[in-house]
Amino acid sequence: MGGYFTTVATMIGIYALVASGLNIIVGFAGQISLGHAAFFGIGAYSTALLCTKLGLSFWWSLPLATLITGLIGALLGIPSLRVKDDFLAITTIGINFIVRSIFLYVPFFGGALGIGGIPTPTLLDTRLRGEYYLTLVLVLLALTTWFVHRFARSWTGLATEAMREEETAAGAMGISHVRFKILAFTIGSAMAGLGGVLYAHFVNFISPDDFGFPVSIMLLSMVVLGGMGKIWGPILGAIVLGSLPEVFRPLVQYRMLLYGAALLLVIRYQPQGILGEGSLLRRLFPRGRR
Amino acid sequence: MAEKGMILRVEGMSRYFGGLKAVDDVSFHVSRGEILGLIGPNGAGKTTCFNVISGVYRPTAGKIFLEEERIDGLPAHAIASRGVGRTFQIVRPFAGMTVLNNVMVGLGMQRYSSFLKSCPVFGDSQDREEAMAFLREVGIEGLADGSSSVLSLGNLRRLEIARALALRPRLLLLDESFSGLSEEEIQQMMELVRNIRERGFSVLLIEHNMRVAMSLCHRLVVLDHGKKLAEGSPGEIRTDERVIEAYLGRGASAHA
Ligand SMILES: Nc1ncnc2c1ncn2[C@@H]1O[C@H](COP(=O)(O)OP(=O)(O)OP(=O)(O)O)[C@@H](O)[C@H]1O
Ligand SMILES: [Mg+2]
Repeated sequence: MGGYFTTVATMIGIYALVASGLNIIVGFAGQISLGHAAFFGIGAYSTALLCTKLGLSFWWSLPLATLITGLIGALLGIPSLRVKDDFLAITTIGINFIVRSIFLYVPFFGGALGIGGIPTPTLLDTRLRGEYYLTLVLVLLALTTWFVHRFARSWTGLATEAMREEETAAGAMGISHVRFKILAFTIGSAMAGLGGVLYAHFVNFISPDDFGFPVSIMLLSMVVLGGMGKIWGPILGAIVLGSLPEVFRPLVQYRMLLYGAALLLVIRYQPQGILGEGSLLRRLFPRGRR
Repeated sequence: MAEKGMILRVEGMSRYFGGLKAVDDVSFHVSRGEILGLIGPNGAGKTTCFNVISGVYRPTAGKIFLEEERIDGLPAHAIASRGVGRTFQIVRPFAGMTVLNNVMVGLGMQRYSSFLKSCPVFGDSQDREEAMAFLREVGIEGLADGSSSVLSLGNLRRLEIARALALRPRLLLLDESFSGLSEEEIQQMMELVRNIRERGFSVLLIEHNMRVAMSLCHRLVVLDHGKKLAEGSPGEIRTDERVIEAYLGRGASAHA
C-alpha cells in the first residue's frame, strides 16, 4: 500500500517536472508544442545509454543527459522561428513521431524491446528506492520550481513574456525572438530531459511507447489544466491528471478520455486554467500576487 | 558619411510587396532635434517606411543610416538597440502585463542581448522609479499597476510612447499617435511631443490630421503611391500644387 502510493507520487513528481518544462515553452514563450514527450524520451534514452553502454554513474549521467536534451531542444526549436500556431503544432507532433521512430527502428536504441538494466542510483551506499527515490524526485522538482520562479522574475522572463504577448512590439523593444524562443525550447527541453532521467532510473526499463504522442497530449493537458504561464499550474495539473486514473482505477483504459473530458471542462469553464486569472480558485482564495 | 547633425538618412529606399510598390525610391533625412512629419493619403506607404526603418521589413532597395551607421536589413531588435524607438498605428500593448511592466520591458533593452545581464531579477525599486518617471511624463502614472488591456485608445497611445521613451532612443518614430483621440487629448498629445523634442529627442512622425502636422513639425515629407511627392516647411507644403492635388484629387481648387 505504501509502495503503491510512493510509486504514484513519484510518477506525479516526474510528470510535474516535465510539464513545468513544457510550461516554459507554451506558457511563458507562447509556442505551442505537442511533441514534448520526445524530449522526455531523449533524456531517458540518453541516460540509459550513458549508464548501460558507457558505465557512467547516475550522478554524472543526470547533468549530462539533461544538457544533451537541452541542446537537442535548441536545435528542434528552430522550426518555431519559421512557423506559428497550428503549423507549429503539427511540426512538433512530427518531431515526436520521428524521435519515437528513431528509438523504435534504429537498433542502437534497442528497438521495440527498449533498454533494460538501467541502474537504480545509490547515495552513500544506499540504493535510492521507494521513499528515497521519491525524496530525490521531490528535491529536484523543488529546485526546478525555484528555477522557474526565478526565471519568471528575471529580465529574461520579462522579455520572453513580452515576446509571447506581442512579438513585433517586443522586437521594437530590442528583444530578439530568435534568441528567446530558442532559449525557451532549450530550458523546457532540458527540464523534460531531467524528468526523463528520473523516469528511466525509476522504472529501470524504457521502451519507445513510453514517449509517444499520447504522453505529449497528457503533458500539455497538465499545463493547460493547471494554468499556462503559472508557476504552480503544471504541478497542480500533474497532481490532478496523475491521480485521476488511480482514483478511477477501473477506468484505466479510458484515461485519454478522462484527460479529454477534464481538458474540455477546464477550457469551457476556466479557460485560464485552475490557477489562471479570474479562476474559481483565485476568487475563493484571493492573494495579491501572481 | 552622414552630414553632421543628421540623425537619420534614407537613400533610395524601396519596399515592394509582390508587384505593389508600397515604398518606391524614397529619400529624406531627419536632423538632430527636429520633428519631421511624414504625411500623405491613405495607402501612401508611410507605415511601410516606418516598418522598413525599424527593421520589421527588409528594404527591397536603398540605404538607411542612423547617424554614421548603416542599419538597413538589420533585424528589428538590433535597430531598436541602436536607438530607434517606435509606436504602432494599430496599438500593440503587451496586453497580459501591467502598464508599469510594459514600460519595464523597454527599460531592459540594453540587457536582452547579453545572457548575463538578463539574468537578474527585474523591477527593483530603482527600476520601478525609472518606469514611473516615463509614465508620469506621458501622464498615466495613476494607471501603473492596472492591466494594460483595459486602457482607452488615448492611454494606449501614451503607453506606447512611454515604452518607446524607456529605450532612451536617439530617434523616435510615432505612427499616427493622434488618430482616434478627442480634441482635448490631441492638445495634450501635441504638448507631449513638443516636450519630448525639447528634451533632445529627434522625432519622425506620421500624421493624418493636417492641422496637427502643420503646427507640430519643422519640415514635412509628402508621400503618394509610395513616391516622395514634396518636401519642405509647412508653409511650402500648404501651397504646393502637387500636394493639394494628391489630397483633393485632380482638378480640385487650390483651397486646402
Ligand atoms: N505586409 C504587407 N503585405 C502586402 N501589402 C502591404 C503590406 N503592408 C502594406 N501593404 C500595402 O502597401 C501600401 C502602403 O501601405 P501603408 O500601410 O504603408 O500605407 P499608409 O501610408 O501607412 O496608409 P494609412 O494612412 O492608411 O495608414 C498599401 O497599399 C498596403 O495595402
Ligand atoms: Mg499607416
